[in-house]
Amino acid sequence: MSVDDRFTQDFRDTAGEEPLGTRNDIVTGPVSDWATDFSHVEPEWSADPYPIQDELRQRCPIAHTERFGGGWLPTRYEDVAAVAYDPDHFSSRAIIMSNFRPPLDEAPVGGSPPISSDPPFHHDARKLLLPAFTKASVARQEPATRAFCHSLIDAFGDRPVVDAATDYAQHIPIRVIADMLGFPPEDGPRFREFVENTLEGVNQEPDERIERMQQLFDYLLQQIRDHLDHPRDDLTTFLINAELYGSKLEADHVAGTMALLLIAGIDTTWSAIGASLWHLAKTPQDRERLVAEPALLPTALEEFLRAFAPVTMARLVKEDMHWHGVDMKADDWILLSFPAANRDPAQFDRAGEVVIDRKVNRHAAFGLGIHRCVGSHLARMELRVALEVWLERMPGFSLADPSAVTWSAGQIRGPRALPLRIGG
Amino acid sequence: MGRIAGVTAAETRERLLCAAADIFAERGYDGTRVADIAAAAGVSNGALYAHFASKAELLVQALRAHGRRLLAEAFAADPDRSITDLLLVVGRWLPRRRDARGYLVVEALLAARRDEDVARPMRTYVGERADMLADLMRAAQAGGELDPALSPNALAHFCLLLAMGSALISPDLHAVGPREWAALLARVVAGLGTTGPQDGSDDVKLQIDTDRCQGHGRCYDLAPALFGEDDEGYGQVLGDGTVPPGKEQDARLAAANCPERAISVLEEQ
Repeated sequence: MSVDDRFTQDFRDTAGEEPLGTRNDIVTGPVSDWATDFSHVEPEWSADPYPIQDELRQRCPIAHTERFGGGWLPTRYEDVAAVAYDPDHFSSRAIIMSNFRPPLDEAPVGGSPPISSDPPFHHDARKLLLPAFTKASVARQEPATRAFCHSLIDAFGDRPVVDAATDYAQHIPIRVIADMLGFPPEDGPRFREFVENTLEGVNQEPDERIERMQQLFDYLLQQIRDHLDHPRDDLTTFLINAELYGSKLEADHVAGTMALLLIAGIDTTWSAIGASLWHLAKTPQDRERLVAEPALLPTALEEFLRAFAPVTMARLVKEDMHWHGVDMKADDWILLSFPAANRDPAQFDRAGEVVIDRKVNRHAAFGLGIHRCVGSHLARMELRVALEVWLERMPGFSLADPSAVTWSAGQIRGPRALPLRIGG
Repeated sequence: MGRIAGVTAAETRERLLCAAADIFAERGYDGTRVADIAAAAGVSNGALYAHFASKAELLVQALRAHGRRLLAEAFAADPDRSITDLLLVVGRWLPRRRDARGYLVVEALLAARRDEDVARPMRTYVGERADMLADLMRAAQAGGELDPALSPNALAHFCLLLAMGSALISPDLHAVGPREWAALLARVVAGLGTTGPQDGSDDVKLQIDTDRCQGHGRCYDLAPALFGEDDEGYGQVLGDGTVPPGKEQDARLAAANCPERAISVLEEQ
């Protein structure tokens, strides 16, 4: 058993002096005007952001806010794409819009490569991960995923009402990513905590937020050490042994990428499965058509991804500039709303409707440009299998109580409570 | 920091060229310090100078190693195609967005204007490219593809201007529709031929712009008979890209669903 001295110290120790970065006052409470004071963590936004985005796209396509220390929200497809295609002016140094900006010298690596990385480093860090996430590679997870979906439904027993978000959708990506990383499956509930802390806790006090992030990294370090002692064929061992530019990855890079895979793989797919089931529960004609025509599912699934794109990203403006009619300042946030882009009538016919047999669907649910979601093939496989199994086992279902459906706040949006009545 | 244990000199050289290509492409010749390249490659300044005599040499060697090499790639992909086809395939790619390293040549040409140390190796580099193109033209003339009355050197010069110009006029400055551009090129090449405009089949051909493709995989999801994925998930055209009869709709569907607009469906005349 060789000692790998990259991982002998706790990340808390090596952190030493806390990174400086920039903190700003936390502003919460009702939004006065979405064009000048938007906030993606207020309840009105999480309940239904689409009318807000549609109205902004008409009235003020690049909205502004003073919250989070200042930021912009483009709502047209064209502007969202322009930001995504321009890493020279928009950095990924931070991708969660919060009240803390990491110090400039974190670029081009960032805390969770490659999502937090800028070119040219980004390309090389991403290249490491790609082979593990091709369509062919993730197909190997499909039989276990299908069996797991069946086991979740078996556990419903004969309950007339189940919560599709917490009894079904949530568990699927947790199990898949735990398997891929080689983490104990019974740690699932802890992952959910980590995800909530990272993605929904953006208005926590920064010190509290940092402490919670450290709990995640404590856990990851524990897993890394266990893998050092017991190497196995999984992504954690792969990352520990991976090399870039002729040397093994820095400890922060290994843990940062593990954090990314864990966090980004869970909430997102959970949201996509939940939103799709929510739509089918309240739209009997679409549900019946998919039950009758299972071959339509891959097409329908793309439409669910377009209409209910779960993921919004963020960028930081690199330098002061006049951009598409607004004056951006260095370190302003860009809330990069793929959901808003996906409902732009200039890009999509019947943009506000769910058209499950939409043939041409050039949506941006997995992003555009160099940061295309590395896990998109995995997410599509999980979403397809989750819906196939559900529709096969329970072709009839409806919303048990529409007012009981709740949605997550922040940059990942999906149902967090989704009581469905089975049968009918 | 000296040589890194277990790393051969060739690896160190390659690492330096890689770092140089990225940094020169990002910051330009004047904005780049040799020390930054050494640091990015993880070697000392001394080790760098053991491999490259000067910053100028490093720039031109990085260009040779990591600049765009469409012609060589297109040839390797299908050595059997005719020379005019090869030139057409490359020509169609020229106006498209390229990765950062694809613009390295711009930095090198700019530096060559101001700095004789760069100009000298660049003359050699451009001269070699021109010679290689002229040889290709001669072969095309011998094979009856191009009019032997034309000067091979003038033809080579014409191709070089298109190639270098396409690096300068990036799609951000001015864009041209891929089909309009392909149609124009086909006309130009036909005009350079011995027998006037060629009468061809009405084949439909597929191309993926590898600079644009990000591996969303919509093409191989929707048209698995026409596209596959490579080891990193990027889309690949199967075979030589000719669409079998009856699959034209699948080809167009895949192109219409590519989020990055990386797929072209070319109707050849």
